[in-house]
Amino acid sequence: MITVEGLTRTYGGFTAVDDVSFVCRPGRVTGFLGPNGAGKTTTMRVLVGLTPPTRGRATIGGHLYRDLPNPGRHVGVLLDASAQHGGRTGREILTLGATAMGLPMSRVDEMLHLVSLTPDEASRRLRHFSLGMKQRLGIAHALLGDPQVLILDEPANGLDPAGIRWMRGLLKGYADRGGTVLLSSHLLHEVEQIADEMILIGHGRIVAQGDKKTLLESQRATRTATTTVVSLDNARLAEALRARGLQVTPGPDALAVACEAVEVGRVAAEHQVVLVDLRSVESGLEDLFLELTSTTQREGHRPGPPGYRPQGPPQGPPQGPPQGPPAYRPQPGAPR
Amino acid sequence: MSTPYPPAGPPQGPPQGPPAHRGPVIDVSQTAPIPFSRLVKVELRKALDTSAGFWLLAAIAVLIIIVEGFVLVVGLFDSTTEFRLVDFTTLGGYVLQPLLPIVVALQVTSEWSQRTAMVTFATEPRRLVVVYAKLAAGALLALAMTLVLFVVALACLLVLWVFQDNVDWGTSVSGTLGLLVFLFVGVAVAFAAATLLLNTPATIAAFLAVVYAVPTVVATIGALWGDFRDFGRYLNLQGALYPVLSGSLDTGEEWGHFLVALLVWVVVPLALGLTRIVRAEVK
Repeated sequence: MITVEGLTRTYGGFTAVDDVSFVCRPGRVTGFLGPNGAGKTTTMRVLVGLTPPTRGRATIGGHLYRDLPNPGRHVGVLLDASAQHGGRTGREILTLGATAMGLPMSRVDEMLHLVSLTPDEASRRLRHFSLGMKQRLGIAHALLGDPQVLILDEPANGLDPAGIRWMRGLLKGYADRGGTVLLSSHLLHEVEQIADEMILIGHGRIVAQGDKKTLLESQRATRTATTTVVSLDNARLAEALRARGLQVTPGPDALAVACEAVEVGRVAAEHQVVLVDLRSVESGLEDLFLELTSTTQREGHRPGPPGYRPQGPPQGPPQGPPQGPPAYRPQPGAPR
Repeated sequence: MSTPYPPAGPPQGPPQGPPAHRGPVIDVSQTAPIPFSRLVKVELRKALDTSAGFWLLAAIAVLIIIVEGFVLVVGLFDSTTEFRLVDFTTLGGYVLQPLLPIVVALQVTSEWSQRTAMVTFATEPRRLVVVYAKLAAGALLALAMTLVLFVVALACLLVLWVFQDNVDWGTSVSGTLGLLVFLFVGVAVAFAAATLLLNTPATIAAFLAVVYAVPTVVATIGALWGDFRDFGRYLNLQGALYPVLSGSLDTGEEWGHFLVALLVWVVVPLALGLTRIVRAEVK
């Protein structure tokens, strides 16, 4: 229901969003993930017509946002929970929204109840709200008009773990009823918990998109399997593995071996080394995220990966650049 | 070779873009746009629902009562002078002229200083309509405060009539209209400055400059440099407003001063300001 096509936004010589295209489908929660300053917020602001695009277009349900009559009834927007008048009470902020959208005032109480803001909290002025309370109020404001589409920028920011779980349930339920959700975050684990689909963005460009499984699988195909193993005699096992021509990296307690777990098990059995722990390393989305956006991270090169992964680049057969393999969508002129 | 009929069109395929890009369309035909009256209602509410906005208006009302009450006290001790409605309203008008415009300008600038513009324009993306609603709400507020001014003045006259009977009930319609125009021009100057500057302190400074500093400077230069005097009168808003306030705006020259001053200090900045708001990136 959200369609972004070839969206570009430049500020002078700086390109904040660079030819971004994606689609968010009804019934799905789409996570928009990227480091700070990657262009998530700019993209969302163009979506709701607050920032004019330099090129390209963004439509919601086939319409430009500015062409929607009474847009609050169709699209719920939360761009910045703190961007409200500090002198208004929470209830008053919702009342203004409900009045503008032409909703009954009972809707205000319903929404306050939905986001678990007590009448006492709702009657406080916004400047006395915690960030988590502001986020809840912002989500209540976005849901006021019972919209078909939700656009939320960093909604989990400031929520405690229980709050994040609550929001996950809320958004899942919303999507299950056919709603379209686009939410952004710079924290992978937030999005990982909530989103069905993910769009990874770095330096204004989309570096990968798809559902979680597709993303992980396409990544797995491009790297050598890694196994960590702990045995009663690591030194002997390492020797045996090396004799097989496998690359072994000794860690403090464990060995990291560049092969499938079964191979390590076989070698251990042949040499009668007792295994204590044997597991194949699932490189999670975290690694994928860092890797895909590594050229765009402020830190430049990311630090060595945690765990027992072999150092240096994966030893597999030459298969193109490690970043941005073709499966993710080629990146002509990848950012510096 | 016969031409195939119907002529071969472009290859058939997904009509627009790849299929994945053609998500369900939202039907908006059943949704009415937000009526203007509702936007005005929201803007009026916004002017009053913060403690700053509420107390600013309350303070103005109290000031009006103090100033007109002072005239009342004078009247109670001076039975020889006849007091008219305009004696009360003019003084109250001088209280309203600098303060009312600030209330109205805040309606615009606070959207930027408090960053509520994001929510406001996400709720109603027709930005010009929102600004017009603010202008209408500001005008209604100005009207309400003027009403307070007249009600307090009438109350004072009644007291004088009962205790001193030194009241001249004659009122001048043109004088009353003049007072309204005098107040509303100030409001319009501040509103225009607010849309152009989108910043509270700068707007207040600009308003005070246009209404108080520029007239003094222009008059001073005009006194020293005769050639400038006639030209300067077109920029002197206070001077151009004086015949309006006194209900004696009649010569073509006075009308000229008044209209040119309005053009320079209201129409031009407002046009530029509206353009700025429509084009602005709302942060």
